[in-house]
Amino acid sequence: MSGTGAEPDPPYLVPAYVSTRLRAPRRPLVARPVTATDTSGPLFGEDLVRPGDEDLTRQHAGEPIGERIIVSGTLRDGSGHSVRGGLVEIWQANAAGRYAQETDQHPAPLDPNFSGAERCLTADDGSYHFVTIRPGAYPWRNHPNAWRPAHIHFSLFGRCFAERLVTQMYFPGDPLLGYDPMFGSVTNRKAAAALSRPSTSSGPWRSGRSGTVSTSSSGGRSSHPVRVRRK
Amino acid sequence: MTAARPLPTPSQAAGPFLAIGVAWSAGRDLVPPGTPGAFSIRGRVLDGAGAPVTDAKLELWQADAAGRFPPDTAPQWSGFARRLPDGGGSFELLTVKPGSVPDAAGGPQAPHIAVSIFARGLMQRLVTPDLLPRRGRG
Repeated sequence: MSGTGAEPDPPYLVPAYVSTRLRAPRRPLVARPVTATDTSGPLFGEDLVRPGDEDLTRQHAGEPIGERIIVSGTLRDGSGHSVRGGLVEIWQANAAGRYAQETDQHPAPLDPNFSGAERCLTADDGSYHFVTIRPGAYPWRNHPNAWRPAHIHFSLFGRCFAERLVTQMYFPGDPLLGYDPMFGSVTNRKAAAALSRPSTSSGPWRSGRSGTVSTSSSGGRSSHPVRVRRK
Repeated sequence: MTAARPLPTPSQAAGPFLAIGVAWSAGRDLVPPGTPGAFSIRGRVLDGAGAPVTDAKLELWQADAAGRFPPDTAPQWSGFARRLPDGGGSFELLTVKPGSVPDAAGGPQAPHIAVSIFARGLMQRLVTPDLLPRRGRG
């Protein structure tokens, strides 16, 4: 357990996170050769992202309930170079811990002024910037009295198919972090710290969160734990 | 700008409420209906017990019919599509057969579509190449 020598990424099988038991690969992964398919990538143009998309607090007539925060950072590739024009998507629960998705049946109130999903392209220096509200914790059925710590989901595209990361951002000092098998699956302490960096103050209107998100460019690995079957 | 080689940010699972994050991009096919040579890829996502996986996100990435990737392709070609499986774990995508893409040594590869899978319970992305039959309409 722990140490800084461990892989930054969690293993696929995290027995304490019950859903991994039937979804983690059972066989060793096969390394794929890196070809043009991996070193090329979709072009995400300005047409996919409108100005103002990065503000989740202004998608409706009224203001959402909750603590308004800035979530900002820099997208870097595996070599530390900042990535311009990368696609950053976030999605999250509202301040009461409920997602605006039908399948979320947690009986916390929906917020008519909060949809909880947005996207932006990174600037020339690789930076991204969202305005949102701090999501609430919510219960899940993983184990008795299980509550997920507050978190924001991140999806990041670099310049090519190989530069791809889906992760979650947490809030430092959250007492629920110590009980969360997903956060706990990252045994490399430095890497885990990167998922919940301290806040930086940004004036009275909103508090800030910042961090660097680095995508590795390993090219992806191939296996069939979740089988894709063609009819 | 170069910085010290960073520790990669760890991956985390995507689900189960990933659908709200991709609603804006999930429906598009790679070609419009009626495109010459167009065909549908259909598939199902199943877990280790054979149960349908409904809270997954699939991303498909392929070359155009001439084996090219952006920015060398026609402006309307994206080569990238997302799918959310339906209640039975099924998905479908209308596309055209990609042209052959050379491997790292410049040799020919079988036409293929790269498929990324993200899901609840999947701590990292999985990538699998979907190899297409050499003959027939696919």
